[in-house]
Amino acid sequence: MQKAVLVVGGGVAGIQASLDLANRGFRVHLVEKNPSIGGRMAQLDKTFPTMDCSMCILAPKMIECSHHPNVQLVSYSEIKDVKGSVGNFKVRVLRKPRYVDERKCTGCGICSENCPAEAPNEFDENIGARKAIYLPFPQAVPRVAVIDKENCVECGLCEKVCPAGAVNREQKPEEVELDVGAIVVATGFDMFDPSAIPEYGYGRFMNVISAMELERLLCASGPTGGRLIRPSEGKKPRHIAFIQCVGSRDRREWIGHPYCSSICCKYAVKDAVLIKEHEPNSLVSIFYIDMRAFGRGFQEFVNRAKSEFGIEFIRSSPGEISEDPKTNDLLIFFEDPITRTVQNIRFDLVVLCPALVPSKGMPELAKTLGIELDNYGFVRLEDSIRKPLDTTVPGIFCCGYCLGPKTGDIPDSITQGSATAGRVAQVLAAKEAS
Amino acid sequence: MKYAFFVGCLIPAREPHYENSVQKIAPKLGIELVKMEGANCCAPFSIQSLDYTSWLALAARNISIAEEMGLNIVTLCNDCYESLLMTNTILKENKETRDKVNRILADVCSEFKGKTDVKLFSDVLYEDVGLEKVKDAVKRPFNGLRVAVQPGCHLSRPKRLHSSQRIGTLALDQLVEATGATSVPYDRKEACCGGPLRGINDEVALQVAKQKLDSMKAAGVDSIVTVCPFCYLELDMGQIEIKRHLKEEYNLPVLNFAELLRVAMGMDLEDWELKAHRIPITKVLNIAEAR
Amino acid sequence: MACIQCGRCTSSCPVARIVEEHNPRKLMEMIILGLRSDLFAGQLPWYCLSCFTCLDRCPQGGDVGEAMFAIRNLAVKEGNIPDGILVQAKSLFENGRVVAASKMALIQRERHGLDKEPSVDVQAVQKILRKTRFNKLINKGK
Repeated sequence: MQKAVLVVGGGVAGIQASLDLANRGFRVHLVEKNPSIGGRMAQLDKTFPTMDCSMCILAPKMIECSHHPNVQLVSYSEIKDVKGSVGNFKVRVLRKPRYVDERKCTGCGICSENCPAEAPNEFDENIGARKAIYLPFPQAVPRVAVIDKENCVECGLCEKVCPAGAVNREQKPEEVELDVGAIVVATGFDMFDPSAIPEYGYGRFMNVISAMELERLLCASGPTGGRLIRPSEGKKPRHIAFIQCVGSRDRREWIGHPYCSSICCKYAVKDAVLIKEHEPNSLVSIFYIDMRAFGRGFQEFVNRAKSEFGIEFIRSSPGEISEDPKTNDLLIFFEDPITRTVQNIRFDLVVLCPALVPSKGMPELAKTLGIELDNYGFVRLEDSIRKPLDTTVPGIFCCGYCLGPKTGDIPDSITQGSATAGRVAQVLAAKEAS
Repeated sequence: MKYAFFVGCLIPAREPHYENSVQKIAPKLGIELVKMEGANCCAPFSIQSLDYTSWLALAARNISIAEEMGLNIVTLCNDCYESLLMTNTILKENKETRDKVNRILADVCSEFKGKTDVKLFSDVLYEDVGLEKVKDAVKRPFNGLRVAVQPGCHLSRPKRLHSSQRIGTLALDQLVEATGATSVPYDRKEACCGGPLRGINDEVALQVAKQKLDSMKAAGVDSIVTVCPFCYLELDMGQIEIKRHLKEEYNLPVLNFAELLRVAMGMDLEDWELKAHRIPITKVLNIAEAR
Repeated sequence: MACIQCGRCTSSCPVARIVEEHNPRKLMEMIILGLRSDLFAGQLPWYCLSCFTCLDRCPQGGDVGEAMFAIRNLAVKEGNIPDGILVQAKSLFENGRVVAASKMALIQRERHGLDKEPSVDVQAVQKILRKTRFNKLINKGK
């Protein structure tokens, strides 16, 4: 039996599970498909309802992962094959080439400064650009540059200027075999593409953005240094609207997400308050069907949003958005809940809160691991009441949003990460004893 | 390609020039249209509003005629399309309703078997004939003509009725652009023209048409192209009525898209067909002439 | 009834912007509350264009669009039929078409080489409409 564990996914849930297991003496291989761990929490500015700085909470845990003697960070890698069973899994992992030697790179960033080629910045939700050789974000762990060969112009400048001689443009992909006793899936979520609801104009109207794009605009480490601007011409927006349930709670077959994503009401109010804190003179309206602010502190937070910050809550789901082609302003058409007539209000910026969906690549990963997914593509639990962290394969567990909208917020993901670690330890101890 | 040709009521009754254009272009694109003997009204929305069962039965009779002919149905009118397609779908999927309707059809005509499909003429051009063949047939392109395409409600709604492969409005845009015209995007493109309320509530119908025409005017177009004969009536005749009652003028010529294609294919419209347009279309035709 | 009264239908409806009375969400509310007499009276059921915009945008799968037809079917049973539709219904029963070809149209067809309009099997239509008691329905609306 192997006293080692594979954790797939380096978001906050995966990080917590890894630290708990490492602290118990297990050897943990934390595999992350992106060049840095951190996941969604790294992209946020603040968390609700306490309005703490997200990265300030996460970064120490990320650093701990990278320094912990029992944690091996396998970043920019993917799971290729899994054989075996609980207690003895053999996992083949493909380490994608960074074209930078992880052992030599110091993360100084001189390569990026000199790189002439640009590409859309994925971490910033494709707002703004990054270089072809780049560090994913300032607090990236591991702090190692990576070359995006598709956009690289092969000028060789990075290789010339790197003080550590870490650039290796001939680097090949590497296959690694890991022997582990258990596997934890912690692949998190993606956001539904709102252009599937064409009446809201996402993709057609420049000033209609999705919530994650807003997060990056509000974040000090984001493309605008935390200044909220309108994508059309870069001016400050004064009238901002949030539209809830874009894709969530939607029973239409071609949308496919009839569930409530459970955190959007909360984060929308958080973002609305953030905007008001940045710009007290702005007018912020939230269009909702229900305000689902369950749990401790959230309803109070919503109440404060109304009374202290003057955020307008409009109980009406808009039918459509029109654009004024001269100004790129948006007109939201909705039924006024008080007069019961159709009205339209002009906004500078509209933020859509999309449904949260399983991480891209989940179907492939599930096939490789042999685990079942539910009809929305989230991980199917062995027994959702008695064993809510077990997948359908013994020895493979899960935590975080990959389970679906059962996860309420960041503390829930952290709780599940710890709980899964406990579960893994228990199962492997039992295996060892038998 | 052979189809059972469902002409509907409005086109033979009020817009025979639409049918004429279709008859002129069909053979050049390899389409054979066979008349459906004895076919009745599709039963459009007004009849569906009166009695659901009567509608299903009337529509089902038409479908059974096509089944006997062993051909798929092609229609020109969006309302006919919606009526027949919806009936076809409901009866194919729901045994109880199908049995009920077949009991009504019992000693009237052959029963509904669910063996045929219903298509709109524009879809036949796009899917069966193919964009390339249509482009090849264009001899006199409308270079520089800015067109507001009016797809009409029932071309693409209700969405769940249509297969996910069907691209509906986009196909129509590509067909129009195959003639050399430009399909100009405009705000209320997918919205209703108001046609269904003609004769029932003309005041509201015109206000709805005005919303559409305002939006088209704001986008800066030379002409409107319709598929559905109701849209055609509402947007063509409607402009005269709006001028009279709401004092607003647009001067936007309306062509049905079979006419657009016919002219682009090098054929000329006859005098009587030109006169069938309330807003004169000569300036649009001149764009095709001048190259 | 799956309606959650979100209001997306009303704010999508082209007629709701013109006629305050015509409010699809409100009509659903009236159904939920069982306000029959108000729902089937006068002009209220007859503003709908059957454009299906509400149906396509309803997050509950389109109940509202179908309810519009149901409301009208029921209003008709109580004798509420606008004149414009009655004319079409009568033409349907008598000629098998909601709109009969005008003399002008028939002349044009003949003159310009279009086939004679295929004849409708009116007897078949009347057989069907008698079976569904359609003729009785339209006699109510006088």
